Amino acid sequence: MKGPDLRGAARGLLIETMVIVVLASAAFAAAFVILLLT
Amino acid sequence: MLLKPATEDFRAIGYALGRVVLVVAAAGLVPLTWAILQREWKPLGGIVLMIGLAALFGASSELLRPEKSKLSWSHGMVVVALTWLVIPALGSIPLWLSGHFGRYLDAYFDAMSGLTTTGLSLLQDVDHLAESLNIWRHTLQFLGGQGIVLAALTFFAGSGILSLYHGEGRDDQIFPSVTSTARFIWTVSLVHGVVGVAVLTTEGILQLGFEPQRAFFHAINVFMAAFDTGGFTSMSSSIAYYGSAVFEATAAVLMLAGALSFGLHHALWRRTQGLLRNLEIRTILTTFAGTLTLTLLGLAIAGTYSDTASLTRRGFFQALSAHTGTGFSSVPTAELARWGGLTFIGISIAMALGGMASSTAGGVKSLRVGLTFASLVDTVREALLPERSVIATTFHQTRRQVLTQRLAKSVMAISLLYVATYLGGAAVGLAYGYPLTDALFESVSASAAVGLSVGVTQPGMPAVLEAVMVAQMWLGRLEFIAAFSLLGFFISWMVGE
Repeated sequence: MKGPDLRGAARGLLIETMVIVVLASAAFAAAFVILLLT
Repeated sequence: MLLKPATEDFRAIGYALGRVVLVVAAAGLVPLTWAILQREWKPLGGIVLMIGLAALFGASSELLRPEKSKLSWSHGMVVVALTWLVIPALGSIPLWLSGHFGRYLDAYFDAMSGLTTTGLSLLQDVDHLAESLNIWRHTLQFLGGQGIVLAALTFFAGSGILSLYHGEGRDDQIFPSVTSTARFIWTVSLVHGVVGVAVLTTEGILQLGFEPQRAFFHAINVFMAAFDTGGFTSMSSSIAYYGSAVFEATAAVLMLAGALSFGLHHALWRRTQGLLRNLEIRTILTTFAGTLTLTLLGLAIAGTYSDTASLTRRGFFQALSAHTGTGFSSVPTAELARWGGLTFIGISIAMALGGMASSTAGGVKSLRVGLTFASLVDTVREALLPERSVIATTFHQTRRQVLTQRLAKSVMAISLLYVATYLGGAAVGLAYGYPLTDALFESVSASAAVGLSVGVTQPGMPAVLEAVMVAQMWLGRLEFIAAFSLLGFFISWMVGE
């Protein structure tokens, strides 16, 4: 029987973490601009 | 003419229901073990009673074993609808006996809220609830998020009740067989569980200064609530209790993972090319960007946070918590209730839209939102183009697919039912004298299985409103179809010939 795909799992977790980092960075940039304008 | 169900139909439904309920007996071993290890003797009686009743219910269903082992699609839907009513009744037993609830309905509300991964709670003094009961509340969330039927199919049921799988709002079948799909779903959850609990425990010890056992207790609860987009916490101040940006960020990764469809997890584990063409991913990125902007703008205009870091941390976490349907709150309820204007609109829309289809999240779901938008564009194109034009709209979801009229109609119908449920619950709240914004917020939060609250959900709330919210959570989690099947079955039983 095939074991769990550990490499795929690590890849999935890394992508999810990167997505949060990118989204949070974009939110930070947006918040900076919004605070500047308001 | 409606056909009255025969005895064999009742036997088939009762047998399948009993098999699924056995899951509670097995899951109850988790809080039981915790109670024994922690020497919590007071809640032990309630937990044992629940396990005993669930086991008895499951075992007695053997008496109903039908002649035909295969369950029809419609009977499967009836079983799923009943399962999601019976399991909260059993799961609420130890909660009710804990003395932390004002009335039985409150305990049932909490069990339903946990199972549907909503996260609204009527528990009094959660900070002093026995650890084993906290573990049980979170286990209910985990079970509900994964899918009770999925658990039953994996551990107890034979191929005869495979037709139940689609009744829990799961449309994806990643592998040719449901069993392989179930195995993949458990693998994804296990991987996130091991890594998530390890990271959260380490943060608890190193950053928050918790003892290892305490750090593990909090980590396992936060994991189950975050990955299954539930939103319960073991502390009354929710995720704000930890006061740590790193802890919140870890929870955010788990919340995101929970809101992704298991089909997408499968794709992420294997390839990433072409994923941005996927309609659901495009939709969720667009709606999240939109609702986050509204939230940040509203908070900035109101002057709630004056520095970029605080504004980002609170706004981003709350928008993500709402959109993924988790319901963790990094601000106190009283403060959230003051988030009016654009922030209120942003958070409410995020809650209403929800995560991805076939994930642990609730709400209308991004795929339906994307398809509804595509249908509307289609209608406009039809009106603008010459009469004889042939319009074939396609969308990318795993593979290129055609948006047929039938699909568009069913997507529209379910989306409209969600909107009707949101408005219906708000109307009941209004009738009880709550302000429109509060009534609508809480109604959306319950129906979309989110769990954020502006204070309507609290002990002593009107019983009718509480019962309506229980129904909203149930309907929203089952995405209506199974509930309609149960209603149809009941009508056939009453008036059929």
